[in-house]
Amino acid sequence: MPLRKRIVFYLLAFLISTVFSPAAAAAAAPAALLKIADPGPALSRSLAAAGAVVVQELNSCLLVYAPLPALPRLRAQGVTFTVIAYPRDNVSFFLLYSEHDAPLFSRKGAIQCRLLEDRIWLCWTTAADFRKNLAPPFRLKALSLSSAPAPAAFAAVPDKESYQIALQAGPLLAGLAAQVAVERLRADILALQNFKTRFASTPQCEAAGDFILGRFRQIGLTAASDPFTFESRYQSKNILAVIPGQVAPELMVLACAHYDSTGNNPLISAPGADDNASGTAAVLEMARILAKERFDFSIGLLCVSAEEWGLYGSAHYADRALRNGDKIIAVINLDMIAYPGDRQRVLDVIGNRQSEWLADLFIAVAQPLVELRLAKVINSSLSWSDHSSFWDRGYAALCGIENSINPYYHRSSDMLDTLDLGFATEAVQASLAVVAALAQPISTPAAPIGLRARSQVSASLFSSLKTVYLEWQANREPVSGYHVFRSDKSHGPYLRLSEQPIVATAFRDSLLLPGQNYYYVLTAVDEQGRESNYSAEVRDDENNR
Amino acid sequence: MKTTVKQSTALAAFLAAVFLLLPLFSAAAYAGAGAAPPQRFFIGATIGYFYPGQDSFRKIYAGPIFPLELQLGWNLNRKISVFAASRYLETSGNTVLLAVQRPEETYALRWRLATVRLGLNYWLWTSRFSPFLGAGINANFYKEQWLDVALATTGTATGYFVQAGGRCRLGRRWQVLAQLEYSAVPAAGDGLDPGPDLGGLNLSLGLLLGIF
Repeated sequence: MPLRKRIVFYLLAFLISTVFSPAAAAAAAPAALLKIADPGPALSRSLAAAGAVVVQELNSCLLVYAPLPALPRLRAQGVTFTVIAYPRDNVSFFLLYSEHDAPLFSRKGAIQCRLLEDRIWLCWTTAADFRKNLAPPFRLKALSLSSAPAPAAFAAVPDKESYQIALQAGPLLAGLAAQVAVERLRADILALQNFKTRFASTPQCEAAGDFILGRFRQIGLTAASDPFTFESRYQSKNILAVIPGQVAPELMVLACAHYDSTGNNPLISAPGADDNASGTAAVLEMARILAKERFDFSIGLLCVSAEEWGLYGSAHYADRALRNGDKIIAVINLDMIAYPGDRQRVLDVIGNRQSEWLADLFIAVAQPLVELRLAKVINSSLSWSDHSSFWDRGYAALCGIENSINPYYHRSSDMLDTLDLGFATEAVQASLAVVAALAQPISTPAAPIGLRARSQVSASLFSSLKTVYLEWQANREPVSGYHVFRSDKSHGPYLRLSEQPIVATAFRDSLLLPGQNYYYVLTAVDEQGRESNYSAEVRDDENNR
Repeated sequence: MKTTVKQSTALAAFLAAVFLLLPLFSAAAYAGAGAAPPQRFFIGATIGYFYPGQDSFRKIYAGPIFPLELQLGWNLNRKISVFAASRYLETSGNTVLLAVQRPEETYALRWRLATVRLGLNYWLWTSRFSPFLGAGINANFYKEQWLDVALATTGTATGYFVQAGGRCRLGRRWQVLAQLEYSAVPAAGDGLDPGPDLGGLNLSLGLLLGIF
């Protein structure tokens, strides 16, 4: 071989080996995706110090996005991890649920998958049409590597324990639940089904969004559409209506469902009656009933799109909520609530560990109102619906979903006539009661407002004690005083600290553990001895200077 | 600022007293003492000025601290002596605030420390004025008490000390002792500093009596 050709050959070989070697991939990528199977108690601190974020929590592991220079530091801190991939700018990452041992039809096309835990794969691709490589049925969740979760999202998880739920299903909640009309559900499911397909990116899906917007406005609510782009080239929109709160409108309880659908031929036929016209109709029915009432906190009624593509609509909403610092008390996501099958009539209430309090509250409030059985499921790997987008950003969220296999799932035969609307009605009653309980129908006297908390620690050489200072606004109507409640867990159970109503609008809570956060709420007591709803909750250091 | 001035003034006064009295005692010793050998056993008492080594300690207990000590010693030979001592100090202070929101919040504190010390002194030379270097270990029994609330912490901690000083003979039996000592006593706590150190510098002055 002549010398010039030899030099060219060696140069080419060097370039090829450089470009395609794993080491080169690592060197070129600024970050890595890690699987951490054993999150120790100090993991959240180690990750924060390393600039790493948890992008997905699963039952058996965490998926963490970390800058490459941080990896030695994580190792030095005793964090054990496996590098799964080196993300690049043009690569999309998905979480894939597949019951197949090999989730790919073929390895043609640039898609790679690695098993994270039973039936759950991490896949990454540069191809736009990668879905044709996946063996159906499958579920997808697009992973956002750019949005960091809220600081508290993956902090120390409380032990599983039974919560004492203060809220009970009162007559008012029962009265609201009784207003759920099966005919309204039927009409809305039928109307959504009649779009033939609501596959996100199609004009029919956009028309379905317009229909939902019109329905909210017809009810008399302020509603708006929120367009977004997904997978770089498709457009769709979320629809949000709000019932403003009377006492603390900045706090919101969110009821949501996705209105898009899919099927075996989604551009032509995806009626999606159960998945998820049923959930969308539930949100519309809740809007109709709750719009007539007044609540302490706002209620958001959210219909999102592109769930079937990978939860894009809810991720878009939750991302912005996190950026804006929206105070979302809880999210109730309804997805497939009208096919109980032949099994017992069971509605699964799915939460992650941070949302377990919400699942407990759901059952405590709603079970007395309905005959169907509500089953709590705490499983952070069940990430295949829109509640997961809120989990990822640190919000408490749960999913109400039928506990059965719908044989018409993602098929053209998912039609109204296969559904059990009695079951759906009860599921809506349960969800509506919980949303109303969380938003708190206004009370007499009104719940106190303006609760602020500051805390400081007094330290000696060997001990330290925390003191919390609370201040709030006086109620407009005459009251005989206020009760102060404290919990060491957000959302209670609360311990009442005041034996008698406090006349002042300030309270000092002292001799507390310095390393513990405390949560406070207030009630007002009027001259007839009637006690108000709880105020908005405040953390002890929330207003520290 | 007020506290610092107060502490510095006390320290200065104490140092002045030590350095003024020491030559006087030495002169008296030269004048009055014979050439009799020192007794093998001695007992003594000192009063000191303690300067805590750790910032957090000084912030909390800002006032001057004067430890009292009793000691019993044995001159093994002309170069080496060993001693056992018991020291006690007590002071008061105030809590320090973290993430200050209401600066007026304060709790009064009382600090008590009893120390048992075992040490060895090496005499550089022995004459009427005998300088020495020394080292030893200590066992400390402490109690920190919040006076406004029912909160107290008691515990033990061990440490070591090194010292330098000198003795001047005042007569057949009496000697005056002056010494500067550094001690380290690491402990563990949940207070201002997770690893409080109970040691520091201790300057002391006292009298020793040879017993036999």
